[in-house]
Amino acid sequence: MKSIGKRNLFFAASFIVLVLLASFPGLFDFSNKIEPRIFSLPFSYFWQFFINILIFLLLITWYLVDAKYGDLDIDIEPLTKVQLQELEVRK
Amino acid sequence: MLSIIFIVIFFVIVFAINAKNFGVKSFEEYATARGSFGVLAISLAVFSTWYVGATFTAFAGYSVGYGFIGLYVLTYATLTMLSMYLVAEKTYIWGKKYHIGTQAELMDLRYKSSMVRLVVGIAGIVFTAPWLLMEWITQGVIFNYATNGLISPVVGMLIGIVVVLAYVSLGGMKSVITANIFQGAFMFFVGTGVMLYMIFKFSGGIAAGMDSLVTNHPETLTFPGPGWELPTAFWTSIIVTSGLGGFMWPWVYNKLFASDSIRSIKQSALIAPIIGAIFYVVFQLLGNILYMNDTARNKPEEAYMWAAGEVGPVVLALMSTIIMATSIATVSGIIQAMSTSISRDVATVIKKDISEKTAMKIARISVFIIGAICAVLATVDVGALINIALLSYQGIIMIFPVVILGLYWKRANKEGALAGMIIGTIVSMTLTVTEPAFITNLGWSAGVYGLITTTVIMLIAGYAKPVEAHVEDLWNDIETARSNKKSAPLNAVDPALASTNLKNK
Repeated sequence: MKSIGKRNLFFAASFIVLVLLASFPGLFDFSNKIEPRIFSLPFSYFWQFFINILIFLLLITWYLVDAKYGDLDIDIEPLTKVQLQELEVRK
Repeated sequence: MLSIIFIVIFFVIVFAINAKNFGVKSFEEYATARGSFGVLAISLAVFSTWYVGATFTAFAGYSVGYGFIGLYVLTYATLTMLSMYLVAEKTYIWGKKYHIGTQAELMDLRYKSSMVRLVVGIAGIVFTAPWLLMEWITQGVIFNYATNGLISPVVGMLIGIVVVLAYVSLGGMKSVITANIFQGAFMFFVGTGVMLYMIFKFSGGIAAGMDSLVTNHPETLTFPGPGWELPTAFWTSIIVTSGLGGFMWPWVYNKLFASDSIRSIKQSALIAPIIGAIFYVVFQLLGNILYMNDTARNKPEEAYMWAAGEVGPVVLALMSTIIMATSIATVSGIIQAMSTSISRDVATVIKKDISEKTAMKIARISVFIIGAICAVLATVDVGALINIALLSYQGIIMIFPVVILGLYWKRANKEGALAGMIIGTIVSMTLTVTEPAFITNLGWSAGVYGLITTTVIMLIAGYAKPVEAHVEDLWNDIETARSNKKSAPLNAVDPALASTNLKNK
């Protein structure tokens, strides 16, 4: 996924799907119960933790893909004082 | 008494580590610290600023009083970080190139409208004010509780105000973030450790605590909680409105301008929610377990302090200091952002030829005026303040489409942004105040209707006009920066572009 725009869209959409699984009516209701208990946690708690762990993994993957394409090391030279003043005058 | 000694030591450390930052002379340094902070600083600053002191008092009503519902903060905090990740690149590039110091100023650049800047700036100040008041009150309450009533809440609040005003006015953003590093680390390591210890003291561990809750109070382990009848849409609403609005607070957003690179911001967007999640999960589990105790359940706003006191004086002293650290971190960020916004987004827009020295003076004077006004207003009922603070989320969320569409959609324009923000806020506030039956029956909060209104207005306005010329130039800034990854600076590569930008402005 070389295009940063497409990449952002894919990861943001995946992120939102996961958030909906933890919160949207119908999807959330499925998890809103005590049994089965997992790692001694009620299922409601486990589901929220599980979804959030998936979100963190997704964020880490997103970051690593951005890093792979060098999109984290973009830098820019600030405008000089004179350029800024000119900008203000024109405005 | 031990609590006061701990809090005083904490204040002394905050001043000691900031000594070299006092006496900033340039306004840009006051506002943004000249983009000098790396990933650890930004992560801890976002984490410590974002979790408020009132989490342990006013908002314990959810975790202690109702149990599971308090966990909404976990998912909404994660959703907030999506906003941070998405805005990172363009905020950094435009912020650095055009010497931008506030979120409102960034919107001025994007929409080429001082009016958008003024409205975003004022919205940030107005919607933030209740949080500031609530934090001052929290500090007073903590002093009062920690000294067994020896220091009155008003005197406690004044001590907190003096400490924060002093280091914010003297050191600006640099002081705020330097203190945030210490405050955030203290909150995470000591706070999480103390709360885990309390869980073991009260229930013999997380598993044992959950077993007891399943047996004795199973209703606290699912939504909506004991004695509450709410549709699921309420759960969705509080996550969506808080999650999308959460990164739009100027006191959180403006931290991005202090960052030294896009890499630092994006790494912070990974680290801040993970340390925040660990901290908050332990907080939530402790709160839910405390429900089993009558004293905590009947007075949830005092539950964490009471429980710490039951464990022993050292734990009470540590808990008081943790809450104070959480509160001071947020308050310093708010005060710095408000004073910067008053100077840069309000005063500068009203009177254009303000010198840097005057801007600096306005910011510093604003710090003290805000402090004085809050000290007077902070005598109001805390219960009313919580409602106003929650109401403010229904307002701040209107900035979300303005920022996100502004950064990602070329067609977004000032007409849509202004009309959307104003009409969306009116819709949201009217529905919140009048509370028509459908709000309660359907469960979607007023902010959701306001958010949809703002977005629809912006989309319609966007298609009603062609893309503006200055937007193409801003997009060119991004493309040029991307095509010169860590190589030549933009101006050196394409001097004509910079001059085009100047011309179009």
